[in-house]
Amino acid sequence: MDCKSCNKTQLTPFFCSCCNVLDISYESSDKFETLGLKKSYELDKKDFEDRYLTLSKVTHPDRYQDLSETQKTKILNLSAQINGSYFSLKDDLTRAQLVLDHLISDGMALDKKSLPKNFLFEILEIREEMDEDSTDDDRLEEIESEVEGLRKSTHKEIEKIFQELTKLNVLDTNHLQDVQTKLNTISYYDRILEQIEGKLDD
Amino acid sequence: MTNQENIIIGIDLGTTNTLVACYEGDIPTVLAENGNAMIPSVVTYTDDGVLVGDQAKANFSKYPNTTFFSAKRFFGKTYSELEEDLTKMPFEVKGDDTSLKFVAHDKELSPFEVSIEVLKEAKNRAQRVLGRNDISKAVITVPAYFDDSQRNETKTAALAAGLEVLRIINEPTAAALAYGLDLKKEGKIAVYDLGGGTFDISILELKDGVFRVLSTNGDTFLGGDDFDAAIVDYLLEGFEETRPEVLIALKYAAEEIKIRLSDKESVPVKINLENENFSIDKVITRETFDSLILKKVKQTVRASKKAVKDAQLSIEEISEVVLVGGSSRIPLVRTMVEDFFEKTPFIGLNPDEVVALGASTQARILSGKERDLLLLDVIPLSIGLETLGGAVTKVLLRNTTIPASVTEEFTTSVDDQTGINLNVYQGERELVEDCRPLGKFKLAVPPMKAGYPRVKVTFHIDENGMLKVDAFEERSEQKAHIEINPVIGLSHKEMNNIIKASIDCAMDDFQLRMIVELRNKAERIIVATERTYDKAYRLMEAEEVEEIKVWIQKAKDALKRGEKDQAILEKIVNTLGDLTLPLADLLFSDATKQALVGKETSAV
Repeated sequence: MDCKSCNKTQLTPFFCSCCNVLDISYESSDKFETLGLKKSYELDKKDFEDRYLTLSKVTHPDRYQDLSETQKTKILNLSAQINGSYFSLKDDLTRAQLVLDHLISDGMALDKKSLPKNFLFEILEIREEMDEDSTDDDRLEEIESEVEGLRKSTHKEIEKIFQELTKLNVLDTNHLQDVQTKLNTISYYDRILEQIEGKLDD
Repeated sequence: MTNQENIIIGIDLGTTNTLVACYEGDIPTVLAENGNAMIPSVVTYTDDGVLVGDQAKANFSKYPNTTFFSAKRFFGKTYSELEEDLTKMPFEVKGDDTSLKFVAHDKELSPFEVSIEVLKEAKNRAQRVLGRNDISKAVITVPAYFDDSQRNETKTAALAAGLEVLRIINEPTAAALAYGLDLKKEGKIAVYDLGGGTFDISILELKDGVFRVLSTNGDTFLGGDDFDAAIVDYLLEGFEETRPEVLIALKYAAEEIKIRLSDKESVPVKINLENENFSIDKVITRETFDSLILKKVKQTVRASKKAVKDAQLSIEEISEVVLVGGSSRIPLVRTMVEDFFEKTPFIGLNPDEVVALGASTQARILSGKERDLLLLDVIPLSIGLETLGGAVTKVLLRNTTIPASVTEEFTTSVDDQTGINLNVYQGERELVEDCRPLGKFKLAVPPMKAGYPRVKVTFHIDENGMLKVDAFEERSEQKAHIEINPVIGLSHKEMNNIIKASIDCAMDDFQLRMIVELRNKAERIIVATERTYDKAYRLMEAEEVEEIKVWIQKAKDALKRGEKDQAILEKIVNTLGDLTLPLADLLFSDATKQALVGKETSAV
């Protein structure tokens, strides 16, 4: 999107960093668009951080003490939107899921609920172990690091698939389905980890 | 400008001591009287009136059961939650599982009503030291781990003391702001804040003038008061002692002993209360003291560990550890913090003053005079909704950067259902009974088939870390205004009554302040808008700019004739605010261009 006053490409649809023009009424559920990024898994970390800091500086309510109530609400919403987008996209797995969601809404046929064969049995086994040793903190910590390990290797596998896709420069449905399947397993791991943390806090 | 410069003060409303600070020129300064910056957070109710601060502390032996200290510890708490800890209090505390009150003569007081007196004193001190009588705005700090109801009570207390709270900021974040300016370097820092009543640990990243909180953890009921109580227990050796005269004398003696043990290996304890037929003659060593508090200090290390983990950092990545709060002077605390973080803590500023100094820096940011700095803070606890079976589903996770918002969709489960009940909780645990109820509300839904209504509920956390909820039913396009009614403590109505009562007698004064405020605002808008006229013509339609000019003239006229009608002034200020909306970015960019190109990092 080009800026109306300087005709250069804007940093994001609502802000031109060149002439500092800000549209505080901007609202979008598209997190990539909000931060002016293209919908892809690849992320230039430095550019991403710089963008966030710049946009935070421009939209934080601290900067707008003298606005009317309606304007303040707008700035508050915009600032919340930027924070939400930043934290979603910063997380590799959330970003991966958002990319897939965009492809699905564009018509790509992906099964959103797929799981690897026998995966649920594996999960049930872990759960059984957890319940058996639910008062043994050391054992729980062992299970915790085991599950953390599984999560980490799945994360790496997802990363690898995306690298391959970039190399191939195509959006291959099989590969992407594979990513979706792996992302689904991660949500199971996260739930287990959360429950272990709860038990350890007891 | 016709008026004197508008001053916003920074207040550290502490459990034990309260400090007030503001900028003198470019330097944040604590406001001291007779060389003393600390106002003891102690209030005494006597038949002749209220004593606050040093006066209250000096006279505690005369009014042992109507002298209230550590009121902040009781914010947002209920009697049932604290029952065990209350037996050693020299003053009477009442309540049940939704409330807690202090008893003074025939009056029952909420803890925050006691704090109103302390805040009034802080305000008065600022007025005396600065030689002004128009201080009415403040930034107030709270423990990072304060929940929504505790923040609300702080805000209410300030309002009742005649202070508009421009911002509530977290104590460790304020400390980081002060330290960040002092250290003049970037990196990731841990702020370990152990005060009189509360413990907070925050991990922050400093970069390009932005102070970003990565994670926070803590305990709102762990601090110097607990260490004093441990000493009192030790001195009494399990003896049941309930006389207020003895308990309050012991409390202050314990505080003394604790402080002296920071640089002495042992301290002789001689207490003799002739009137009460009570005496103690003992020696307490640092080793004994360490063993009394070890468990509590370990708790702070565990919380620190969690904060580092939540920040997704390793210990080595943390470049600096700073200590805040009086209790961080305890040698055992220093050693354990040093061992955990594997580096010597940095102690450049007075740990008692650093929070107030940081609050005054945030005040300066809000006044628009400090454009190179920005604080990005987080919510300390997750916010969730009760779902079937007493479980809590989180809608906003702890350590989410604020402002934040999230929208959830709900529907009905039976035909013609006219309402959906939503219960909001704060905390990390899975079950309702382990979390803290924040509020409950019922959403009105037009009668429709089950599952047909689509109610979108948006949770907003504003820049003060406080929750607001909006609801919208899409099918009928009905909006719902939801007021969260606190489950614990006072309802909004009760709070409003207290505020009203405190300002009723000063109503004229209050109105006058509002008018002065509006006039200042109008002046600022005139100056800022006139600066952008040429740019405005490029950005807006000529008619729009003409309309702005008409209202600017109205504003000028109103100021000239000294307009006293609040409604007229409000109308002018609000209309101008809306008309100049497209110019907001211009007004803004003028002042921040420098900050945006990142040239000013050296000033951090």
